[in-house]
Amino acid sequence: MSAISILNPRRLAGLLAVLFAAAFLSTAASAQQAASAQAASNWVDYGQGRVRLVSATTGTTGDALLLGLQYDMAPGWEIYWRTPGEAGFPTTIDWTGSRNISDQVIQWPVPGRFKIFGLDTFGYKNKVVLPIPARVARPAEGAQIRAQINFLTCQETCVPHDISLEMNLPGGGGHSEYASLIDRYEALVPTREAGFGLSIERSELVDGSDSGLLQVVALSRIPFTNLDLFVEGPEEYQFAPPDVRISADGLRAVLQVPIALSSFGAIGTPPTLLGNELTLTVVDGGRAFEQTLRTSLGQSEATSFLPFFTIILLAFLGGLILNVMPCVLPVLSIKLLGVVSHGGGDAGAVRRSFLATSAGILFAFLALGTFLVILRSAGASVGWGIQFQQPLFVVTMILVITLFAANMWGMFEIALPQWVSNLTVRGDGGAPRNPHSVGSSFGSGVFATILATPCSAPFLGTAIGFALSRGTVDIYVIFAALGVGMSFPFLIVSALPKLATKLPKPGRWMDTVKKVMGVLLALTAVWLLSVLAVQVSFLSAYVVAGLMTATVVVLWGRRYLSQALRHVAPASIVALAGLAYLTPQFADARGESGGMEVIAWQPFDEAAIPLLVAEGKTVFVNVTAEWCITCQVNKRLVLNRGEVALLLNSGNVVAMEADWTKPDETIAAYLASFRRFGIPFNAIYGPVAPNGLMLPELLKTNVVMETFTRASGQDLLAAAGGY
Amino acid sequence: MNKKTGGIVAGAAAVVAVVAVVFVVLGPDDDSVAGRGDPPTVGQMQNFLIAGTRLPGPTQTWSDGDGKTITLADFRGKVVLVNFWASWCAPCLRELPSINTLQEDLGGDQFEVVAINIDQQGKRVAEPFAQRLKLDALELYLDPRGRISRGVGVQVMPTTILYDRDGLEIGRMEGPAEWDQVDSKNLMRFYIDEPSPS
Repeated sequence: MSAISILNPRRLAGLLAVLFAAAFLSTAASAQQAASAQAASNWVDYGQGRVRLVSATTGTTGDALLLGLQYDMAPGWEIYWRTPGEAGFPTTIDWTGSRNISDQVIQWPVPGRFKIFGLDTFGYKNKVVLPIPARVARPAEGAQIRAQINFLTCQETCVPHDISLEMNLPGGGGHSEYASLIDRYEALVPTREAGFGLSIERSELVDGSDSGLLQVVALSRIPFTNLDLFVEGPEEYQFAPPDVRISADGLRAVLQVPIALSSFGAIGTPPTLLGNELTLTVVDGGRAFEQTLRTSLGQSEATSFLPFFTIILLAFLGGLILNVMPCVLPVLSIKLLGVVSHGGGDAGAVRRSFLATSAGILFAFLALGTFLVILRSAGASVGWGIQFQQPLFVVTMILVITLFAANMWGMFEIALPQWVSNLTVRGDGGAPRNPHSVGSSFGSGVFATILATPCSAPFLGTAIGFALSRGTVDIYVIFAALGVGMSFPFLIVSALPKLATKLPKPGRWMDTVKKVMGVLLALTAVWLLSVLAVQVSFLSAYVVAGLMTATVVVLWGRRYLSQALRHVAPASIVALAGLAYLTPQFADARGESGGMEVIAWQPFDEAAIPLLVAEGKTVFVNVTAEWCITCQVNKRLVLNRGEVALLLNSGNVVAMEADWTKPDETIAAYLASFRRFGIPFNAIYGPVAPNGLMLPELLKTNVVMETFTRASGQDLLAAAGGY
Repeated sequence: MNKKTGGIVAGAAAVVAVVAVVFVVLGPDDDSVAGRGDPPTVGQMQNFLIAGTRLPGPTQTWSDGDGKTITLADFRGKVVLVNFWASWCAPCLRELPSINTLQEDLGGDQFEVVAINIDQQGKRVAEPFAQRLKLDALELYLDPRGRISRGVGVQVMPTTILYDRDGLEIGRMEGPAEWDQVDSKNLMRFYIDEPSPS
């Protein structure tokens, strides 16, 4: 019967089709396997995702080998970090059965925070690669890799898995197609080197209490943007996400982490944290730094030990002192001068005008407070002058202040549209229709406050730092105190209008005062340019400075122009301002590797190197990628600066850059020739070192300079004419 | 008078009718268990899967906190709810207090909750968790080698299995639930009240 049914023509056709399909699929599968056989294990589907081993090289190219454990997880499923949090366990690997590899260490990229059934956990979702560096005893023999991986994945339920993965690597070979994938995740592994310009100043237990706050002070050489902190300590404790306060210049941050006993697990007395070691991982944008530190005794920098009343007093004083800071002084003084120029006038009008300005200041402070409250509730880490992290805002301020300075120097009269001039100050001391109009006085108060934000005054930081660590009501109270403080002089004048009406009559002295004010404003603009330099680049700061100078020149030169040309002046100022706006964007979009480079990089051309060296040139090679934060840090702190920048741009040195943002065979092969798997990679070639000298991953100016000398056999800086 | 008598008669009739209906709906059915209606797998219990055929429970053993060997047979004569948990399993930790309350409320000579910890480190890890979770109505049971959990085919945590008085598997649930809520108690009572086949 069965023989007959098989011979049934329709069945036969079906059978043949199945066999054919199977043959085709197996051929396709084996072809695919052949393509990646040596650099990856098969995917193993475990129901909630799939996992495989990958290798950065197609074989054992040296005594170091870089593997990766690649997870592709179904949506919502989590696997765990080395410290899983309140529940979970990390991936472990049993390498029994492997041959010719040793010292495998799983590296852990920065985890995410996930709440699962109300418990705080650390782990990964969607996609992750755990980089696994290993040693190879005999590179020529290749390696046999057998990994028994044990891991847990959880969502609504938890599923532990035990999965065998295997991969065989031949001796030799080059970079595999997975090199840049593994490298990308390796870039997310916190470094223990004093890298990325990140460091931890101290870790302390506030008031020595195990149930209070852990305070960590972190420093950075480029401004912090999006700071987080992971704390690993005795399992009896759990550490909440930090409350972050960043200093005005963005380079110092105080992170306070509420300490609580873990929901589960602790029995009896948990160990005291004071003097105990904690592993701290500071993460900022793509940078991550970890350090194990002994906890010392400290006092909260949030100054929460200060009574609230003291804080309010400090806020008041801080606001008051703001009046004499360079960024506000000119604006408010202009107002006083405006009053003077009217030779006093009606006391009632003066009173109304000054009260309106006070109200404007208070309003602006409360608006700022509201802004910070909203940002904070959105989970952003906020600080005084947070808007200065936004290059466009900084450019706006530079522009406004430059125009004001020019105005003070008498180069032009503010002829803004009516509604704007109603809101702003009549700096020309001219005769607006109603100099004490309530609307314009209110506007000048608001404007003065906005101008005040980049300025830090004594007591101000303390008060605002305190405010930001507290609740919404406290923020409003403290910001109100700041506003009252700043408007205090105006309140006094409005109480005693005679103070204003008795000032001397306007005259030459007023011109002098205005010139001085203009200089103060110009200095404020210079300070803002320095902010821009750190934020974007030195070059963009120079460009903006140049554009601003041009603006002033146009304003000044206008009067010497013919009537016809004079009309061109406003248009050219608008054009200059537009260019100033474009500058940081242009630099941003192109990144550090774009057209706004400090260094005249040439595209990487390996074949050209020996020729250049034969000509007596020294060649500097920089392999970088957009996702490589260390590369950016190297550029910003070393390559684009001082002696190194000077050398790279000098005629004796050829600076070559290879962009490894996307996988690239040529670059991969080049890196492989140095037995390196990752970037940053820098090398210097010269007559003394035709094969190139490798630089450490984290560049230091003195090391780069020394290597230049070693590779070229001469003091290149001296040859280039020094400074 | 007449009116009053009529009222009494009508009332008595109503009572008889209600009793009759209740007897028909809830009364014992000589023919089969199915006559009691479907098991109430609703609400919190909607993911509780009733086995098509009741198969014998595991013969593998586990141990109590003192190292004494325990098997399912030790609970013969009781309806037993076996819950597998681990310290690394967040949903398990979440539902354990409700499992403890279920034992407090329904545990006795008819029903018992057995919570088995499968942490590899055994008592050292399980006991502190049990204490912190205040599982004082539950015995500490350990299966660090995974003998019983593998024996019953636990793949997903938490898994909770219900056995009848004869040690046959009634059904199981993968995933957490609020075990001390009415949905769960109704399901437990449904099987506690199940007439013995013998």
